[in-house]
Amino acid sequence: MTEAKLDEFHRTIASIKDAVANVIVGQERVVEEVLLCLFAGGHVLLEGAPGLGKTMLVRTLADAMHLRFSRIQFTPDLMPGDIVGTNVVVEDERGRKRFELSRGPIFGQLVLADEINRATPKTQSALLEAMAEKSVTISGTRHALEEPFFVLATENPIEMEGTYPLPEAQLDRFLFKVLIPQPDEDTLVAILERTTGNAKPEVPRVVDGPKLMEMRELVREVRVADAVTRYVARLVRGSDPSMPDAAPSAKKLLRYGAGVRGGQSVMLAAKVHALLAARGHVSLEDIRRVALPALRHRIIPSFEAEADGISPDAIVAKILEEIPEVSPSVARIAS
Amino acid sequence: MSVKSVSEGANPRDLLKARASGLVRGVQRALTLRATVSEVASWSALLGTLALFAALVSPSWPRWPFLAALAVGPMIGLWRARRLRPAESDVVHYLDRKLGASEALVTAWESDGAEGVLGERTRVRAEKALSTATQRTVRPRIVRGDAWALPMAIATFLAAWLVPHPHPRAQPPGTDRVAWHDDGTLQRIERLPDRATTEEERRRLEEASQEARELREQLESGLERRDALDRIASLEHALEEAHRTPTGEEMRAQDAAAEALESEPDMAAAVRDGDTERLTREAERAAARREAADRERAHEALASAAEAARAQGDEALATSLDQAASLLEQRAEEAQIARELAESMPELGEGLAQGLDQLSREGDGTALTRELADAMRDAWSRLSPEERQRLADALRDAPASPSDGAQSGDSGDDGSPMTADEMETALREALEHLDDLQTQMGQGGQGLPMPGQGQGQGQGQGQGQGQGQGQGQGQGQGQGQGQGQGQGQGQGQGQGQGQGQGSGDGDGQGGPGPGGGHSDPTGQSRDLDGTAGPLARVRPRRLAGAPSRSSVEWVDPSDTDTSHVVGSDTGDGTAPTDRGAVDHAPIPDDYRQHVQSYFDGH
Repeated sequence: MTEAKLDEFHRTIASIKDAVANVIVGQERVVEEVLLCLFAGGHVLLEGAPGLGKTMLVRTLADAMHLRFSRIQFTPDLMPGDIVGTNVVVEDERGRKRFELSRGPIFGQLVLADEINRATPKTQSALLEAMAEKSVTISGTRHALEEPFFVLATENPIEMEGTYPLPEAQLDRFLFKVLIPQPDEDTLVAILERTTGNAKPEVPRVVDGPKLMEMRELVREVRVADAVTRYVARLVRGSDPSMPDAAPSAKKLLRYGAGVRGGQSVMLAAKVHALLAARGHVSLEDIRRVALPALRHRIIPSFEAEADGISPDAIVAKILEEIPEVSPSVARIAS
Repeated sequence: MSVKSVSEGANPRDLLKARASGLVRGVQRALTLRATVSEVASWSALLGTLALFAALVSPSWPRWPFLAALAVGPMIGLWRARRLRPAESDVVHYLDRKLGASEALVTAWESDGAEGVLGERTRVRAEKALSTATQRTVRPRIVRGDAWALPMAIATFLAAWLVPHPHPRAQPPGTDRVAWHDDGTLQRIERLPDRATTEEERRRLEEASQEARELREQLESGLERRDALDRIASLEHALEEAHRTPTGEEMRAQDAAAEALESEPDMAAAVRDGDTERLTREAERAAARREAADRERAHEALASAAEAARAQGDEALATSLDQAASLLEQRAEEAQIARELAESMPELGEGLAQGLDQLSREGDGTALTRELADAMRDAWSRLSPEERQRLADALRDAPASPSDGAQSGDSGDDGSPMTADEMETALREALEHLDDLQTQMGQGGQGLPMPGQGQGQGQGQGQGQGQGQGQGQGQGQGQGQGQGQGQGQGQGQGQGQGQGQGSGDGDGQGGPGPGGGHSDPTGQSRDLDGTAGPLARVRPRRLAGAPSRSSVEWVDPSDTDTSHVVGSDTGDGTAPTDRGAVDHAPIPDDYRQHVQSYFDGH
């Protein structure tokens, strides 16, 4: 790797941010977290109220990165075949009939699973294989999905009637769960002005699929010291109330904690974050930065926490406070 | 690897590691020092607190062991510092955070050397952080919060040191115990009785030997010094007494006295031996010999005079002179018997000596007879029934005339002569036995039978009636019974029994027949006058938890034959004269008050 590649990475990131910013007003943190997942090779679950630009954000990213975009509107009557596709009987020119694969929207590179919690669990599970192994099996035939494969799912936390909460296995496959906040006044004003006029912002294509894959390889070259890796391990174990070294908050407020995929997600996202900060190694600050979106959907609050209205974000924040960043021996030296 | 040597290799990564290694070693040294200080502070505080506590609880304990234990602190600190010595990666991570390298230093430290662009960036970032680092800036704090225990420890040690030691308890002088194993000194003293030349010396040496043996045994097991000194001084005194040698003046005086008694070799030998008892005995024997010689000369003179008178035809005078010679011979025999008895029974005292003197000078044996009777009565009262029976048998088997016995010298049943020493020994043994017996019989209220032996010279005038009124004299509780036998050499024998109740109003019956002894011809015993002397000796026996009881011995100060009177006392009356008798009795004051209060009816 040359210094030029690293510079190109930073330029690409900056270009994507600029392109998105042409369409999406504000939400820099959301955009950054989505980009972290994109370059880390993970999927994103966007959660926010309707009308906050979730779909627009995904479409803009698709336009900026020159990836094949597909959208799946999840409804209760959506069937798995509607997602992955199916074999249909076609008749050729000579009148002979044969089965031909009709690919579903999952075969896109950047897939928008809109309102994913409105489909039945059976349909939701159709995404499991695609998201984890980046392949689908149709009529016994396994079909690989084209890299880069990136799923952005959205869900509406308000209209919960007639929805099907995502199972834990499904949630665990999302690298981040990004919460889209309500825009502040200035942001809302800008949105109103931009979306009610005749101006149509252009979204330049700044990166394509192959280049994106090169950047993903660059991310995996970022170095992580043993002390940082151990901190991630302590963090994951600290969020599991069944562990003896669990954080006090986890023991009190959680039923289940994060697993191995949680640690992997934190580590990968931290590497991307280190690159974004122009560093070749992961620091503890990177870990703290990505821990919240990487872990919030992997923990299950206890009844006590739910009764007290304690959000998963608050629990993760407490765990971050309670788990020491350094090993006991280093803490002894520093004491 | 030093920084200088590494710099020649021009490997940036090695340069980084060399520089970081220097800082790491500095940090490790500081950590060791910090652990030592921490342990010293902790142990000092602990030991200081213990020292203060010990000083307050037991001020006599020494404090220096706690100070000596302070050396444990640094050793434990070094041991703990080595045991808890952090890994180099931990120290590097500490340096990383201390320098604010955002894990660049620890990442570069762990780099395996295959650096890419990202590794280069990390190394550069680490080098930048290290460029400003010095040992001072990265050294961890050596004195931490626990170092505050040091001044506290010093304060506690100072306080413990200032707690005053108690004054040593004053040991009584000589109470320390000494133990001594005999080197032969005391054992030689134990063997000294084998060298004794006289019995008295042997006795004293045996006492000293016994004392030396006990002292040796106690000294081997330990003895208080003052006791040991006292015992040694006592032993020395005993030895001095056993081996007392007369002084020069005493020896000269003894020689002069012995020369003056040259005519009496036995007395001179007693003077030389310093045996006063023997001297007295020899002096009495010498006097007896001379008296016997005088009597012999007087007897010869009377015999010559009688022969001369008979030659001149005056038979009456010759007969009278023969009678005088016979009487003189009889008195000599009586005096000899009394003298031998006095020698054998020195306890009889002055009364017998006076009676003997009267017999010698005036030819009147009344006083001597009375004294002998009292002595025999007293001895009789102390005998057990078995002993009395044996003595009565011996008297019955003895010759009728004392003079015959005295002349023949027979005193035992076997006819062998008994020396005065044998008699003395026998009597002493009997008296000792009697003392034990007296102790055993202390609780009995019955009076012992009192033997009476009277000698009278009634020559026919003792014609008394058997019936007589007697007033017994007695005091004390209980009943007293007495039986006596009187034998007289007169013309009759009197035997009387009397019973008396109370202290004097008891009725008595005099013995029938001609009054033997001292009853008047009417058989009426006369009143006894208690004011002239004790009429009875009350021998109180007081036992714990038991009523006071006593035995009564009858005493006739005017030679009244009280063997005829056996009193029984009802205890309901007291003769006026009896009180005086009680007052004269040698009895304890408290018991006398008890008796007086009893008879007064209070």
